[in-house]
Amino acid sequence: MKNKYLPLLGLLPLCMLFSYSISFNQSIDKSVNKTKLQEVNKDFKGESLTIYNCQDYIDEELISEFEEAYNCHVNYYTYDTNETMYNQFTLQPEGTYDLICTSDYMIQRMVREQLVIPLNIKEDCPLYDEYASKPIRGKLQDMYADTNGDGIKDTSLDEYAAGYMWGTLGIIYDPNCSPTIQEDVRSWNVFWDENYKSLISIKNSMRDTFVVGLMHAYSGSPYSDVEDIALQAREAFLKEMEEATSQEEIDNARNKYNKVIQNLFDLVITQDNPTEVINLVKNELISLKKNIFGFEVDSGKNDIITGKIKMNLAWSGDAVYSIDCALEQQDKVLEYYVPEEGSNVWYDAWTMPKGANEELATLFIDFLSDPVNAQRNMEYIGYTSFIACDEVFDLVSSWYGISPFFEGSEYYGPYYDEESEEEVEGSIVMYNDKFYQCIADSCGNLPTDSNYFEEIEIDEEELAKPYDLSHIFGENISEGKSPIIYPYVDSENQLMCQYPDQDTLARCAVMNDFEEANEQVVIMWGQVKAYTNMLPYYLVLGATLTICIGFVSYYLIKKKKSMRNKRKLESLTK
Amino acid sequence: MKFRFQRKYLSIPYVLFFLFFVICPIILIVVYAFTDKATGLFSFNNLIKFFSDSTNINVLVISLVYGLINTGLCLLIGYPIAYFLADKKINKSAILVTLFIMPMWINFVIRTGATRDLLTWIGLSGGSHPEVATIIGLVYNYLPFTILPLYTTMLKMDRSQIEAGADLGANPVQNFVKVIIPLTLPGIISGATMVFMPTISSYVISDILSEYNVVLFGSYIDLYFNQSDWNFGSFMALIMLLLILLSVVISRKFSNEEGGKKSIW
Repeated sequence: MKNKYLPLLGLLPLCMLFSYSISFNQSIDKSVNKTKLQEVNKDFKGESLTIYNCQDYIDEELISEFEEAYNCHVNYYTYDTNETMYNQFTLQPEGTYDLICTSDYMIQRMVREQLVIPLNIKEDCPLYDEYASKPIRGKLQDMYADTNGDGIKDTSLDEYAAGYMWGTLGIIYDPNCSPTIQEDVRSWNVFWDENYKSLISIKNSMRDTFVVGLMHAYSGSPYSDVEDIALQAREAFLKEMEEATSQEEIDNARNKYNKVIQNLFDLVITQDNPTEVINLVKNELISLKKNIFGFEVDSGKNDIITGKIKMNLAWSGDAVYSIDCALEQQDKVLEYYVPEEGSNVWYDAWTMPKGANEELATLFIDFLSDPVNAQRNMEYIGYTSFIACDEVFDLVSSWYGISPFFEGSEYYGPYYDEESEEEVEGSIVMYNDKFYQCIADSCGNLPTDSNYFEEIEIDEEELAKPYDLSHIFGENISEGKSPIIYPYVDSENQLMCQYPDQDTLARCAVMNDFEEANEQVVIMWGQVKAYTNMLPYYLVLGATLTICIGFVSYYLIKKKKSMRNKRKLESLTK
Repeated sequence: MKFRFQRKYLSIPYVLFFLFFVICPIILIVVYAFTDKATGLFSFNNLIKFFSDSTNINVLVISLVYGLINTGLCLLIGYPIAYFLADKKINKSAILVTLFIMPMWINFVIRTGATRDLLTWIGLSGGSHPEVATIIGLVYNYLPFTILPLYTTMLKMDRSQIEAGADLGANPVQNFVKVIIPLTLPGIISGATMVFMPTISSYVISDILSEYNVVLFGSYIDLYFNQSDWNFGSFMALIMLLLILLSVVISRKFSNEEGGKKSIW
């Protein structure tokens, strides 16, 4: 989502469009617009809404639909990284932007600096309130910021932000690059493994790389001498899970484990002197630098598809995209894994800066949270939406597998997709342990109705074990609908990447803003990036200087000589 | 009073341009460089910060070395090319010159992206040989900037002087050192400055081709600006400005003392 050299990326969106429309498109274009948006009686003629969002982070058709629906004008601007956004945003006079989409830590910083205003989600964004996944929104609620400068973080981010997309940080890798890779990617150690020298790319992003260094340092790395807290916590967690008998005990174990990881993440801000932790990470990253292919901004997505690199540090959303593209373009399988020492879970959310057109801004948030719109948006971007509803679930299940039949859902028969120019197959459902494919658009008809459904045979081996998504969709989908997907064997990993399971989430912590320590981390990051063997450079510089000095002195001596000769000549002629 | 157009009014756009795009930015850089980030007051903090961390100096040295190597290689490769291009017997039309300049017509980010793939293909990817890849990219990008000024000076060069040198008994080496080089010195100097200065501040080429393994001063400054530390970034920009100024002064001195003709710098 963060790219620097845009011109190079001209092809990416195209390829993205293609892959999504070809591989996934099952239902959307034909969906009847049964919007749940409330009627607003006010006319917004002449008013405008200025949105500042990350590149390629919205289906832009939705923007024009919003303009039409509310008779207003939308100015849409994009940025490449959160830092660019912050610089640009703080430069503009108050009221320039009405709505900004950015990452959790950046919202934290903006709340602390009192640049944003609170949202009244209950009243102004009822759809978000209703459809946002409760557990995921709960995580955002658990992030706090300090609003009055007393150093105590007492304001929940939920008061200032409405979640948009979320995901984890992990490794995307080529499962065929070595026989032991599946074992190796379970640990961040793989980045230091010399067997993979020059086959790994790391994000050229300070905060993400920091996570890798930090987790490695606290899991018995040979470059640091601190306690392997992350490993110990994991062992304790696994043991507790084994012994746990009730759901409550399991939940407790997960929470306890998550807390340990979270505390590790927060060391930089909770310690009075963060230098120690920062130096620890610095040593890790400098040793890491020797083993990797390089840092990447946006080239990693393509390089892993072409095979230039075999492993890449990636956000889950980008990983989903790469996995699709690789399969589409090169018929190549890629997989994603969140290493077991622990990693980062991130949330991108909408927030309103001071001086915003609050009414339109909240309406826009709600517009995006409308189930149908959220589904379209998620289909376009490919990241995991905050919105968890029937529509989104059906989309996900059509991407990755088969889900049990539910009477209230719509199912689609085969149709010709004009955009991808391909015939799209009808939806497949599971009903009474049998599989049925839809042959005509249906809503409310039972799969046994041969006018709409046809029984098909699906090999048991094609389907992986059922994946329960209730930890995300739980209370959000209709009663009676089962939040279980039977993923195809090939898609199981991608589904887990899109919606990580509870154990993965337990080892993922949010990364709070570095606050005062940020300056030190920036310096550390600069040192890591610039670290190299300086001897040849000083030698070349020394040699050049010596040659220059020699040349100049030779030139001066010669000049003096010729002057002397000239004078001699003059005195002779006199 | 009636408005009367005077010739000096014609200079107004230039003065405005000069004010907005030359003077103002420099003043801003200086102001930012000498203010404290937190308090906004005058301070030497950035100066202290810069010289207290050896990494900063190292990055500067790395940039200087890449600048020197790039300039040296460009001259080494560009000089003979320009010489033959300027020879009417060899290069009858200007087509060859155009061919050498043509890469400049393509946006350099795109060109560098293509170079990256090319280098990977021949096994010199930035992951395994970041320094070599960077130098190849730099030379490729800046070669036209050396060829052009050399070519123009060589076109104007009086070839009969070379013949005269040979007639008077100079062997080819002496002829080259004592006649051709002094005659083309203005071209050499402007070619060198046109390569050296932008190389120090360039970073896109090194970033893309070395997979961010080689950090030049420009990319280091970018890092700080990106992380909203404008003051320190400005201070480093100021240092670079002074360095470039120094290189201009030196090259000026050279071209004034010898040759007599002034280079465009």
